[in-house]
Amino acid sequence: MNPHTLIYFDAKDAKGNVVNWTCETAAPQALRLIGWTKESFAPGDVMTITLYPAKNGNPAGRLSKMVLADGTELRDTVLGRDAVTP
Amino acid sequence: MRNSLVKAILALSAVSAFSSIALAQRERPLPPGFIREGVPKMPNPPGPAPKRDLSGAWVGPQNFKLGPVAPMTPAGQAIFKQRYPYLVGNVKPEEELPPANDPFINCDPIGFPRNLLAHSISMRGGVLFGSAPNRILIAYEQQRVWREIWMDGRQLPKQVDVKGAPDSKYYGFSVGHWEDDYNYVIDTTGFDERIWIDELGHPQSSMAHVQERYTRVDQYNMKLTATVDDPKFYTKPWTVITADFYWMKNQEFSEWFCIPSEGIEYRDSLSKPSGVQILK
Repeated sequence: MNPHTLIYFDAKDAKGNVVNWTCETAAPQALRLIGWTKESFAPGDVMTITLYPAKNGNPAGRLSKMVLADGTELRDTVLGRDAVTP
Repeated sequence: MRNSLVKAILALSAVSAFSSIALAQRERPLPPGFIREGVPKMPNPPGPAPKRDLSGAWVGPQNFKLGPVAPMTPAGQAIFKQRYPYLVGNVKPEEELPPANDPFINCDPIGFPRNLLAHSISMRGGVLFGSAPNRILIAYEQQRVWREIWMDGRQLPKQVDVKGAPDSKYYGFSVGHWEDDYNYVIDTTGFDERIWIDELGHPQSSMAHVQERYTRVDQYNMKLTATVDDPKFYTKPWTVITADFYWMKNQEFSEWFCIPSEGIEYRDSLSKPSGVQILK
């Protein structure tokens, strides 16, 4: 979607409760340039998502990367580089 | 609450991401046709610049520098104080994000010269120079907008939005001329004052004079310097942007829109839950 892409997903928190998350990443044409397509994944897929959470604690954030079940990585244009502790 | 959600993220991922974590310099995969981030393939040497010709597709702006913004007049400061950018850095976790009233939140027109800056977001914006009788056309990938640069010697309007004068425009009125075989100069004025000149909300008066200078260095390289002279809102002229562009013969343009209905969804499902206050 434009202007920026949103990914809606469910994840369990530490107590096992399902939380509905909203995750932002870049505009579609920017993602396309780094390998994303509309067919990259589909509703129901299980994946690992790393994101920068909202400072107010709500289940929203900016994507760093997604790792699909087959190991494929999809990264954000801005915050998609690997994170390391200083 | 916040801690439990952060734990949820940790459970999802082997690599956590917090603001205090440094970013490694791992390069992203390059799209076809690029030799490095934002730079398309080109011969070495690139070959001579054609004379009086900017036609074709360009990737950019790259290596851009914005401002510095000149000191504002009291009239400029009065408008600037009413503008709240969408994102302000270094907000502490315990602080609420300030409210925002950037017109682009609602997909209102970006306007000129902010649209030059807006391409900076993707790092690989697209610009297409073409022509029509008596004018050069510049088409922008973002928002699929175009500007008409008149080449027939006409004069720019002396005023707008008064009896006998034309209406102001988000992209202004533009005339262009070749200063020599490789320097193309565009003068633009007659702006809608709802424009934000940049993403911070600096104002631009209707009779501001924006001048762009495009210098074609060789076949594949072009440099831009855009300055604004707006004595109503600024105490002196200043440079809005300097940037490099790269010619890319077969560049294909995507549809890059701010779609109002999706913008509303974005605002309601991400911006507001993240603590961003949207002002009318």
